[in-house]
Amino acid sequence: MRIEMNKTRKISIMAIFVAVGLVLQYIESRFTPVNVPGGKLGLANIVSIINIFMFGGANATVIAVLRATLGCLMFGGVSAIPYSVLGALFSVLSMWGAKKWLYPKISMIGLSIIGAAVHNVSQIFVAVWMFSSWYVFSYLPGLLVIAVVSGAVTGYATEVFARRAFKPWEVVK
Amino acid sequence: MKFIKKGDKIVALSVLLLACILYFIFNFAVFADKPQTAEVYVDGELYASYKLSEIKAQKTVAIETEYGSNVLELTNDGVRITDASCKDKIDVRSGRITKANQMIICIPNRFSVKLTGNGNDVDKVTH
Repeated sequence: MRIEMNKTRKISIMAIFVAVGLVLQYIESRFTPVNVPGGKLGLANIVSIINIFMFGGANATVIAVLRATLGCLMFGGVSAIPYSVLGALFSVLSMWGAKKWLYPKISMIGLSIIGAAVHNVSQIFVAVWMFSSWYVFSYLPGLLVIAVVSGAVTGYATEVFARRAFKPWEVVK
Repeated sequence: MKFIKKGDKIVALSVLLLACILYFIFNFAVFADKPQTAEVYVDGELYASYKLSEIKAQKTVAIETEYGSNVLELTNDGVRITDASCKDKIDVRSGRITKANQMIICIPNRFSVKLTGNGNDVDKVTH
């Protein structure tokens, strides 16, 4: 969707995406599906992927970090800020890189799995720092399995959404 | 499933492979010893330590700090969390740990409990 966007329009649409991400993050914070700290669906990742395609990686990173910070302040809790913000930051950066170098070879499903896995790995590093212990890495295998499943689910949702929302999707590449 | 490309499968399989490798490393190399002590950490610092061999049958301890409260149930062979003030209760649901070096963490309360074994503790990260 490379439609002509002036600056104001672009900023407004980006702000709307921050809000959409917040809503998804809120819905997700209402339930804990698995017994692993940090294991979740990552619905807001849908917004991040769409943003990378629409506004480019740098803007998508800004949107994701804003969304994560606001989400923690509104309903996540202050302790969650470093996990959420650094997770969002590295996850979007990795998907930006993956989109740049791997994209037509992998679909949005692959992008989403990479984003989810990197999100969990960066959260583990934050936990190593917070708990001063390398043994929190023992949570990583479980988190990675969850990342593959949840990444595939959200990636599939993104692919479906993108194809329906902007036809032809190929223009966005 | 028509959107899945070969590249996606490679990505998914490599992440799963990494998960398997880490799992085996932890379960067969890192988590092999019997635990000797249970150490409670709050905000990254040692808060309390309990010798498991000195525990008769069962011991319940409530840890209350400025970040929240967690209730430990210590036995001869391990530890579990029976109650916590955080809202997700992941630490309660994660069950009992019985091997040295395993830990239960509660992120909202900045709380963790770790079992330690016979001295071969490589885990001396400075804060």
